[in-house]
Amino acid sequence: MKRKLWFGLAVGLQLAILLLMILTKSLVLAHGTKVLLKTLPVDPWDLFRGEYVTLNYEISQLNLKELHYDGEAFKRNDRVYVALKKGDKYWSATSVSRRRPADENLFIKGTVRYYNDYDSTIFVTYGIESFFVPEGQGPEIEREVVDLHAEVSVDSRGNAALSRLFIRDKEINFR
Amino acid sequence: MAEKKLSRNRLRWLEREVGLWREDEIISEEQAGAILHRYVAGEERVEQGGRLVTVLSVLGAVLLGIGAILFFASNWQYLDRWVKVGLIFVCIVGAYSSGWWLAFGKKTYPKAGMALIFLGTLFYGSGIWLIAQIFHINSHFPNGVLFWFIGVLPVAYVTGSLPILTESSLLLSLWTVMEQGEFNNRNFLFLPLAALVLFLAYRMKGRAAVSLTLGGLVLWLVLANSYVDSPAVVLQSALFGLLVFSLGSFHTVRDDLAVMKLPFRVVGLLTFLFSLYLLTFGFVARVLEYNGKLGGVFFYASFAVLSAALAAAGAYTILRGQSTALKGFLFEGTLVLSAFSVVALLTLAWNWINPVTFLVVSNLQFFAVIIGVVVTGYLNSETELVNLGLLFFVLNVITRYFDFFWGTMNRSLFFMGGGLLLLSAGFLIERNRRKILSEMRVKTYEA
Repeated sequence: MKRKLWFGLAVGLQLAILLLMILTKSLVLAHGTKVLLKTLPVDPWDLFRGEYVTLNYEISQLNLKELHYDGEAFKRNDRVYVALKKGDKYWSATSVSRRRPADENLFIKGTVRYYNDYDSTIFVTYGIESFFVPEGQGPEIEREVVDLHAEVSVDSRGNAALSRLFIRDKEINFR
Repeated sequence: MAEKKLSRNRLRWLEREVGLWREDEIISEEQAGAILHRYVAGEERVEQGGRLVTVLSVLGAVLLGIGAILFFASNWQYLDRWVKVGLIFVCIVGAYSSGWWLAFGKKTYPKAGMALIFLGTLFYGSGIWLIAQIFHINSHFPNGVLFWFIGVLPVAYVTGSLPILTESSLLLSLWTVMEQGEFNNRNFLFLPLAALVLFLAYRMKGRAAVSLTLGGLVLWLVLANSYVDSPAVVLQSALFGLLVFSLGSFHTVRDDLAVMKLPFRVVGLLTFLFSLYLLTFGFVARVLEYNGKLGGVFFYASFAVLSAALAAAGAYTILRGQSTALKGFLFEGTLVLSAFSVVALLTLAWNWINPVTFLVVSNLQFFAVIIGVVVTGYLNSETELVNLGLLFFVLNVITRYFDFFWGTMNRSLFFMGGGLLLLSAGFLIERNRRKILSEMRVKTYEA
């Protein structure tokens, strides 16, 4: 009987992990601020998850000379907060910091992957770089290098979730 | 003297043979009785059938699980995302509950039930990837494997299933390789988790899980230092291999631990021999010449750890007064330490010897170690040492053939020569391996 209880708890733990994964992303998608980001695609494949398009956003590569930042050098794997500001249509980065911004502006949380000392740029990932597509559909998006942008939800703590991808303002829908 | 279990067929054969020995007056009546009293009929035939069922069911579960993972990976667009999520939850709960019912509830089909529980763990893994796919989650993808491991390990413990425990250790090793390979982290979290898996594997006597976790530890060490100084990493892994190998010998001091001797020795020896094998290549010598000195704090620390482990094991053996174990252990300890001394000397000599000398010495050393391993295996009647030694011998012959003749010989002659070399090597090794192994068997009976 006791074993049955422990088994139930072990299975419950698995279901809880799955539900937590769903919940964290669903909440960001439902309540986050929708922002449009300009992006470029590349096309890889993942053993477990299948085919996806890797998105390289404008905000993935930040030139420190063009942004506000506190002057501290960045290292690989540093957590950073990038403040976003809406332009005519797309959102762009205005500042980058290792500290969470205190003001009311929208910011997105990311991780420094690479720091280029020579031209003062950092490469940042936000966890929204993969857009999964049905098998064989990756190259179709990959060809679209002209006008591709993504709709991303960002919550008040900087967590982001990728919701939709657009080619020339038309949503990509595989159904 | 405890009775040993034999299968009914073997026992019948033994009774017949002992009868013949008695008739031919090779042994006395008392000796015949004493021999036969050592053995009883075991349940091996039933066990074998059981094992076959386990293997078949686990294979079936693996195929189904892989199918599920690939189905969701193909991102089939005709199903709504929530239908897919619902489907995976139903699959997980269905596999676990039916598995539990068969294995522990009704207890009518315990092995099939365990296979269904195993399938549940695979469904759970595909659920993680499915959700990552639906929500386009890519932040730190090795976490997916970590979550899979975290969910599966408790199930292995509660059900006592060895295939699930093996799956957990495979996932743990895969996780650290992904984490360290992709994000260059030292990933120290791996160490306590590996210790936890080893603890469970010892309790559940899961040798495959111990082997995979030890393999993971080797990879962890290599990847944690891979961007420091590449040849130094090879030496560190050689050392670590020796440490694991000698820890294997240490297991003989207690009967209940003896079952874990084999995984330690195989993984340790594989690591050690493969590391030495890497040192026999010309490019390593060139890298050494370019890099110059070895940054060797870890190297000497490892030496200290190894020596301390050997000394502690030796002292423990003496205190326990187990003379046979002590003898074997000291013999191997000496062998291991002398092999290590050669490696250490080579390292120290890096700054003074030229690449050609280094290559000659490392090749001679590799050859000597292989001979040492085969001889030790022969003397101690350990087939795994003989087999591993011969395997690396063949690997070395093939590699050197490529090294010396690839650039200088006509391609057709190269391949024909290589083919002939392999065939004759295969023939010689097969003949001698059989001879050595059968001699070892005779020696065991004499003892």
